Amino acid sequence: MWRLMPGLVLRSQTWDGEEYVLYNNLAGDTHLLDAAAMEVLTLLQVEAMDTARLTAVLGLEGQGDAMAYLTDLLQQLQRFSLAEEIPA
Amino acid sequence: MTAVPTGPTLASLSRAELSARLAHGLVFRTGQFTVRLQCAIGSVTEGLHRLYGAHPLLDDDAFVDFHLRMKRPATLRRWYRPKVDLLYDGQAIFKPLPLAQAFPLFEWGLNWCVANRAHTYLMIHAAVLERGGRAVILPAPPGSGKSTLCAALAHRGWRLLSDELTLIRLDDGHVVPVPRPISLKNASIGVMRAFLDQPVFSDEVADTAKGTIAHLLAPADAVARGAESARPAWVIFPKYRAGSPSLLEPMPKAQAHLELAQNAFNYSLLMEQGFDTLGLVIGMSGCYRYTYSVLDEAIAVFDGLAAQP
Repeated sequence: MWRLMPGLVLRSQTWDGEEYVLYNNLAGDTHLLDAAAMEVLTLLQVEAMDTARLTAVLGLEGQGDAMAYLTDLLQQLQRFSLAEEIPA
Repeated sequence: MTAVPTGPTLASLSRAELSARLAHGLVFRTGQFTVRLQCAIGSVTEGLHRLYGAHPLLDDDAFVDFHLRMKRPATLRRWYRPKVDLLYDGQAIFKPLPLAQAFPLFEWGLNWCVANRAHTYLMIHAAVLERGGRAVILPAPPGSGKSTLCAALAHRGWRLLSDELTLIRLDDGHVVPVPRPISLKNASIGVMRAFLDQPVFSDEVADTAKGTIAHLLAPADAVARGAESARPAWVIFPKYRAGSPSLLEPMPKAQAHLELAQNAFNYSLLMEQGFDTLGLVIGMSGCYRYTYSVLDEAIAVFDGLAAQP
């Protein structure tokens, strides 16, 4: 299961819907994210989800290596302290 | 828009009068800030006499933001390889520098005051100029040709707001001027001497931490309009590259936001407010990278931007 890092407020800006800047209020860092990463964070803000459910909600089922890329993205978000994996 | 302030300027003082006022404390205004400088060092008096003539002169009892004092040490170093100290509110803010560097030390000290105290603004290490009410912000690291480009534009129809410190108002994202002499170093000094018609410089000071330094007089109109803010319209990351054609390339705004944040002095200190204010600036601005090698070509590009509605 993945969830948004507790206490994180999704304060972001975009001017083209493709690239976003996100302010991490927990660390004081600013991140440059693409639309997919922002969508994942927005979904995790609503509720914690496992990779399979995220894949379904994003409409990625059966889309080649999409699930592997999603896993990579989640791990990257965890390295940025924007999301974290929790026991199911 | 704010009315241009009227009243005496430093030019109303003879050099002897300026020296006398400095000895007990000269109070003057630069943009939003008031400064009291106490100093009895000839090169500083000469620098102010040459480069601060258009700055408003204030009464001795005026409210002062920054109290600065420059003094020679009461030790053998007053005479042996003489040094000078710069004090802010009575405390030294830099290590003592050679006496020959006194005027650049004053300029660096004033930069320090703004960069370390003016946290009611988002402060970006960038040159900024205005034309037709719209500001162009030029953030760049040392060696990028930012100050040279800024000096050229400031003498070719653009109003200088600052060559180093872009101050962004937190509530509306507009730029507040701090018009002061333009700091040039090494080869840029010769470039601007050749480019401008009868430029007024401070004496060149060699062997500083930044190499050879000279300060160029800011146009009097820019100083007189020091209370007149401007709306950001362009954020342009300049890069001088010898022999390069003039090349203006759009950049994604989110990328520009991130890079502008990296050039801000107090972005982290302001936290969400800094993020939001930077977002305001980027939202109002066209964002570009600009590579150039010929100043006249650069001026034509900037004039072209200013001509657009």
